[in-house]
Amino acid sequence: MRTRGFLTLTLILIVAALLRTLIGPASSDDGLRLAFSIPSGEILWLRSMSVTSAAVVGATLGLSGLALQTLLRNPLASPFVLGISSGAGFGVACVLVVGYMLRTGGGTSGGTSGDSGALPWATETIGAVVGGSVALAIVSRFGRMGDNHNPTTLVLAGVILGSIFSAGTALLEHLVPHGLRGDLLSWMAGRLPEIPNTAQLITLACVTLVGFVVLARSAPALDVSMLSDDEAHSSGVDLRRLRGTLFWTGGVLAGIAVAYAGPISFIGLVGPHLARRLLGPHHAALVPGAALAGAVLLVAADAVRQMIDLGSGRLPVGVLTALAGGPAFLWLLRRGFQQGGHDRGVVR
Amino acid sequence: MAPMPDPRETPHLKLRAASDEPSPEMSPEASATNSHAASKTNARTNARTNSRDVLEDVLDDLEPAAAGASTRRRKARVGYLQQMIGFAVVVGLLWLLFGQGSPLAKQREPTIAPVVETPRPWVATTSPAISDTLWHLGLIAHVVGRSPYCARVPKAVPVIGDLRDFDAERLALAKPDVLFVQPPLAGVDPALRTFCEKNGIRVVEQRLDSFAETRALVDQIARTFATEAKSGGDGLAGRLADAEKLFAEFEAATAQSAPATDPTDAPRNTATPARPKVLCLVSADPFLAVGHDNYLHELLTAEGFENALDREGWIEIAPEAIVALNIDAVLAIAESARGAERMRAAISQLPWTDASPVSAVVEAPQLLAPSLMALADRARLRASYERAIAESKR
Repeated sequence: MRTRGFLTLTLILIVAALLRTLIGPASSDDGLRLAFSIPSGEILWLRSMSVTSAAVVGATLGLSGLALQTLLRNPLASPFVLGISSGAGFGVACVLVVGYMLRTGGGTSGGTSGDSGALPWATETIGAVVGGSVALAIVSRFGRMGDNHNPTTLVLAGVILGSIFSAGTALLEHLVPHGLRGDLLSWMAGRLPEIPNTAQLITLACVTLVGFVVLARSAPALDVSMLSDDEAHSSGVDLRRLRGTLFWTGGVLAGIAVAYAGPISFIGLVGPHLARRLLGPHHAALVPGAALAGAVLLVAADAVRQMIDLGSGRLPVGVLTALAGGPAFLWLLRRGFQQGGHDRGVVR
Repeated sequence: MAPMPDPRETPHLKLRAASDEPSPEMSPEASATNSHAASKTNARTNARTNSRDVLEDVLDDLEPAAAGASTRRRKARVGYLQQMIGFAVVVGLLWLLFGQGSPLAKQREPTIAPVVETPRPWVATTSPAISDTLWHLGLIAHVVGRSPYCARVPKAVPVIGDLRDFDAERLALAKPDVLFVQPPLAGVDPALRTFCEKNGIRVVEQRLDSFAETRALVDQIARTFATEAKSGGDGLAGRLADAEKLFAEFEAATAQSAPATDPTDAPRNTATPARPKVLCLVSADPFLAVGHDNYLHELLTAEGFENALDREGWIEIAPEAIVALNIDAVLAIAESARGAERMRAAISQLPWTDASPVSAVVEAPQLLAPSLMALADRARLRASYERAIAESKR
């Protein structure tokens, strides 16, 4: 089953990457037309960078989703549902606003022609990671209140926290000058840069690799962590340490992905489920599987959005994943209830 | 939904589970049925002492469970197949509806124009204010790339995105000589700058928060089209001269309209105040008003109005606050006829305590961007105010 699952995911990833690379606008006698062709030179480089960005961000979100679902023992957990993406977004918004205020010497309502220098990407990344980790810490705290890791409490806390952070971002939008407002809004829609900041992409890839290694090394313990606390303790797993690892891995991965591409929704939720469906429940296979599935979903979404032209340019990738992921989330919920509802904090 | 890992599938617990739990290799559903069978078996064991009877009972109970598991697996396979077919149908429908190259898409007008016949230099822009200025200068035919918001550029010109999410591939294929951008406050994406340098595209950055900056943009455009302006082939020199005249008139009007008295002492709601105190709205849901330090404030000043708001930027304002401002007139700028209707309705419902001020709604989307078109059309603000005064006297 595992081999077949890995083969399926790899095959879909290759097909999606090929579609993204081979289908796109091309010059013709009639101007630019969407065409199936082998691109050359600059265009090939742009498309391959787009595939690379999508694959790395997708893998990061998939791993983050898996870490969070295991940490909270909740299949509905994901960076987006738990408000981590909104928290990271708020962190980036704070960094943008503070950066702007520092450049213009304070004051948020004026400043019509500030210095045009863009902020260093590292500051945005730090803001996103801090914001995401704060959100995760609050949600996790609420989830442990009363009933241990009640899934309903967790999802509700995540949704409410997401709303609070979104309101905070809206407040910042309200306070900043008109020119910066658009920056915040478009950043919140999610984007996949074809011309990535190489240092930022390499950092993202390295952090994802570290996260992957951490999760892969913990795979047997992750299996045990799905038992009750007593059973897990009796099998020799240091749950406290493991949860700390999962907490930081999930938070940092979600934060850095949001800093790079904006809050792209539902990949972190659906990726691990797709992997579970194809590879089974063992984390030894799930860890690479979730990364692969996340990459598959985002590369496919990026390929599909190139083919949809509504006359106003490409759709933002975040819009497409939300349009596809929202119904998928509802389907997961319905299926979970149909198959027995909540059982020890797990929606089966 | 794929189930979370079953605790009993962990290797180190298999021995313990094997003694009193169902087989770890079974699916969760089979495990549940098996568990039920095991409890039934235990009950019977207490009642019977013959071990052979017990074994037979267990086998009897397990057989239907195994058969059920097989059926479920078969059903799961069929379900998976159905899902894949459903997915393929959805993708196919999306392609039919929106995909280029699909039979339905061919019936629509092409969304991407031929660029080969466009005169040089080729320019692209990501700002509606810049494309409006190019249109006013008669240079729209040179535009080979636009943002989704550039209303005056033909729809057939490819969308190259906006400053925050630009489509590098279409930008590379459009091959503009110059890219005009209105940089956001956070700055131009360094990646876009590097990309343009690498591809020989000159990036012209110009912030547009005041008409002084619009003038700087016109100077940049004149430099870009210097050859055309000198040859005078398409009348660009004349249009640039007209633009210069517009700026000069605007500056003169602004200088003349300086307040003669302290605005707080001026009488309000008189029939025709010399320098009316107005609130300028650009949206009615919610009420979004024009503050200081932007191009619309400059237009108001040049047209002899006093801006009632003494704050900077674009201000969301409550209806009570509008009433409390004690203004002579409400000037509203709408993007469309429908928007104008909505604005009129919203303004008429404001809870005026004394005599309601004059209300003038002008449908002029060109006034909503700091372009040459806004400058050329600025007189519409005063004209609509005068018209509203005349109507109120009738």
